Amino acid sequence: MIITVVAFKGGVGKSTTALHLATYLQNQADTLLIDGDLNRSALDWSNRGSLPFKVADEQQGVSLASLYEHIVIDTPARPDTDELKTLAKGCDLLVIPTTPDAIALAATLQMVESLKSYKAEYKILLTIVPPHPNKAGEEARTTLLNADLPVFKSGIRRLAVFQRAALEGVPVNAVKDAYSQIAWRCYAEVGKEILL
Amino acid sequence: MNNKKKTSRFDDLIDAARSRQQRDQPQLTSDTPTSATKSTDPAYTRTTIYLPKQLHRQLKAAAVAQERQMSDIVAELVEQWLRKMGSEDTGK
Repeated sequence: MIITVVAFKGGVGKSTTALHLATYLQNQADTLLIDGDLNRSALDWSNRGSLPFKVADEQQGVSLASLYEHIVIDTPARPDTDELKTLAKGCDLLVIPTTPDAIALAATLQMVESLKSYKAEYKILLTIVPPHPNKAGEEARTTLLNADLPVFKSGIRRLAVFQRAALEGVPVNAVKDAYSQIAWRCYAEVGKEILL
Repeated sequence: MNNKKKTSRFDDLIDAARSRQQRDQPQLTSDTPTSATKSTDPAYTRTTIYLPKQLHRQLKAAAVAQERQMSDIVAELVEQWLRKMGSEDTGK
């Protein structure tokens, strides 16, 4: 399966999402994470610590692709039109992470609009969702569902453990933290939904 | 570097990933029909018969109309004929 993580806006958890989906998929079959973001944040993450799957840039990925069952592609914020077109047409699913704020939601709607012409399969993932009693997450979900857009049932909670994981260069489930399993379950649920 | 001739830097990657998927799939699809055809079934043998052109055309059209194979129709008719022969033999 080829999954691409895309968003017009930066800082919405794109690399975190790509990395944890790859972690989940690696449990099923060999998975390759392509760090297509020119910041190379995923490659940086993997250089810092140890990730349970292979990470490569899009050029190394060409020769590696045939060896892996699943490929997760992380992309730069604001991918150019040609990049988006190639990825939208070539992958099985686009995952669009968005934070539940007005600016990110607007960027997401813009992304969805530009995907329409490619007839791509996509699903929106709410990320960095603030905890109860803040209702931002629910409100954003309602907004998206009212617009008839596909949204993952599971959202990703705003948890400090994600930052610790990035710092240590491991996925959240490998961090020793009271919240690591709660954080991991967020992505495990998303992974399950993808493979359904 | 060589980005100019490609439309995007992900083209080669997607091609490589796709070709793997396509390599996995055709094997599955081409396996299933061959195992179901008479040409590979050891219980069947292939034979050649000559039919008048018009009769052959009618048979073919009728087979298509009924969505049956000409082989099945001919086999059924031959069976009928053989049975008839058999009952005539015992009747004598």
